[in-house]
Amino acid sequence: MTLFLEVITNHWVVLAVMAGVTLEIIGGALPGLSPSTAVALFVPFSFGLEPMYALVFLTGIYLGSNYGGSITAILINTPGTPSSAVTAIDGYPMTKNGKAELALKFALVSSCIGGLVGVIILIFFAFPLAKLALKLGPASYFALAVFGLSTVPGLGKGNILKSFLGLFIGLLIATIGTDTISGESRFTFDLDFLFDGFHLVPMLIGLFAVSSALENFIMIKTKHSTEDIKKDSSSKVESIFSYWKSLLRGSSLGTIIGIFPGAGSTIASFISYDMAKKGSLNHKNFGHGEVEGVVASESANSASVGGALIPLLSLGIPGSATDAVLLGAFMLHDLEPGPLLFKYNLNVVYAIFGGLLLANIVIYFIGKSLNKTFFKISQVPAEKLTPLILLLAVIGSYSVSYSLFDVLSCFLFGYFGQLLNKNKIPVTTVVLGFVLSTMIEENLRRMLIIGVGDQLLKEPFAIIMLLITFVMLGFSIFRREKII
Amino acid sequence: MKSSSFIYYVIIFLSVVLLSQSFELPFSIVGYSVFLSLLIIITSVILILKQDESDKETMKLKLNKKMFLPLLGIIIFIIVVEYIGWFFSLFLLIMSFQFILSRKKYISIVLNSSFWILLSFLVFEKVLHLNFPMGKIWELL
Repeated sequence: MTLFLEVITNHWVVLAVMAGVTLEIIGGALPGLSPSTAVALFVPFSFGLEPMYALVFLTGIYLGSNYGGSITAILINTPGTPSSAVTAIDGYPMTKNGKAELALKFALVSSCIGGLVGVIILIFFAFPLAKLALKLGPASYFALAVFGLSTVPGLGKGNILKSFLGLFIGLLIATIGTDTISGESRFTFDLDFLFDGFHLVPMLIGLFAVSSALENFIMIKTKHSTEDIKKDSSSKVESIFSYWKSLLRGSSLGTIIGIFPGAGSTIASFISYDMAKKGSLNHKNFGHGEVEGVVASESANSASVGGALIPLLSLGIPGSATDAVLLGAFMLHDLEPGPLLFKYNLNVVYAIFGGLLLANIVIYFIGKSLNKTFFKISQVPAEKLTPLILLLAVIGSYSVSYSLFDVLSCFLFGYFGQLLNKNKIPVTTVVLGFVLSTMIEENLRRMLIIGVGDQLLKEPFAIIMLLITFVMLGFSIFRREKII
Repeated sequence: MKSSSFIYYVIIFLSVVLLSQSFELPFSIVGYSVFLSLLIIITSVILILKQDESDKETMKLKLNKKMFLPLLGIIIFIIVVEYIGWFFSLFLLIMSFQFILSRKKYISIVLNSSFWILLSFLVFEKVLHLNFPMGKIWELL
């Protein structure tokens, strides 16, 4: 405890946290600069620092990017990170309803609370939870991914079949490219640029940001923001605690799902959003600017950072792309995450724990002071904002893998998103399908190789998850007034 | 063909193309994509057959030619970027977008575009060290 207090009161640790968080709140708001890219970009800057400060700085970046991603998702419908796509579902309509400042405030507070819950769980349960997650086999991962699919009925606004069509399209698009198990190319038509398949970031930017920007080319609605949007931040931020259920559920779900390697913050946000919608009395307002949707999504995606760090710190297993980059950073600083880290470098572990706790507090104060500046973005006229969104879309999609095909695919997804929007097919279900597809297919095939029955019997967790999924799906379909 | 069904016909067409390609894949990976293609086709067919009033609303939304100008701009951008470089082609692209959106205020369009390109150059190229194509023409000069 003394060592822990010593570490978190160290002014260099505080400085490293502040630097990491500030850089990444701004960086996370840039589409295409995902948490993993951001951490990777700043690894070279950490070389000159002592390992303890370097890792605190990098984990601060990791946490900050999750909140930063929500800013552009709320203001201009451009998710800065994949998980903030869920925040955009209600955040952007809130901006259109003149409640951008409120959405930003709620996103900030729920992000900090979610982050704190995630870190507290990380501190107290890191070791046993990581061990438990490792015992789960392909059947459990398959069941977890299928559980993610149960959120589909909640993501649409009308016809449930349209939501499923979006999901199937997303699942199928993800199969394009080289198969990760067999190495065979699928639907590539012998075109080199298709061997890697479509990347998630250009797809996200296209479906959300470009499709909204294209709308302005048709409408030529030059004064959309200043005239249509009236400032409304009447609700106080303290009222966030009236959504305590969503906040708590999102935070715990985010942490638990974050622990599963490969599941990540995007799935956590989708599931948390869907559960909040199902449990809310205002469920009809979801998708039209319901603040509870922002709370559910943001608390889950921030909490997932703490969850994802559990297998990394305690077992040395990266749970996400960002964790893999962090693992590399540990190694570059001659540290080996896992049980030995807890034995020989306890000061580093405490510094990371303390740094993450501090980072959430720093995010709150920096976010609060910058919110008014961010809010002004929503007041920029469409004629000026649209080219800026497209500029960010071009740079963001290119920077993923330095490929011009990504730029083209981003715009093609933009047109596709337009068509989907016009026909009321929710684009979020396409994203969900795309995110879950690899996890479903790989684990399903592993199960088929091993034997489905045997695998399911070995993993009761999988059976429970599948049962919950079917019950939830049945409940959602039954509750919908209009199915077809 | 109803214009509100247009998207479903496009989706069915693409799914049929992928379905036909699926049968050329090795046995181990064929099932998943065949299953998904079939699901998409069946769902689209049901949606075509069961169109309701709200779907017919979409027929009123006409396609605007201006909407395709950004795509044209991007295609030209991709072709010329190798020759004239990333930031110069992006400058022209952003300027053309602004011109389509507001045909007046030429000076403001040029100044705005210059500002954003300069800022993105500083942030992405100088601070974040991302690599963008410099352009063959500038290399020759």
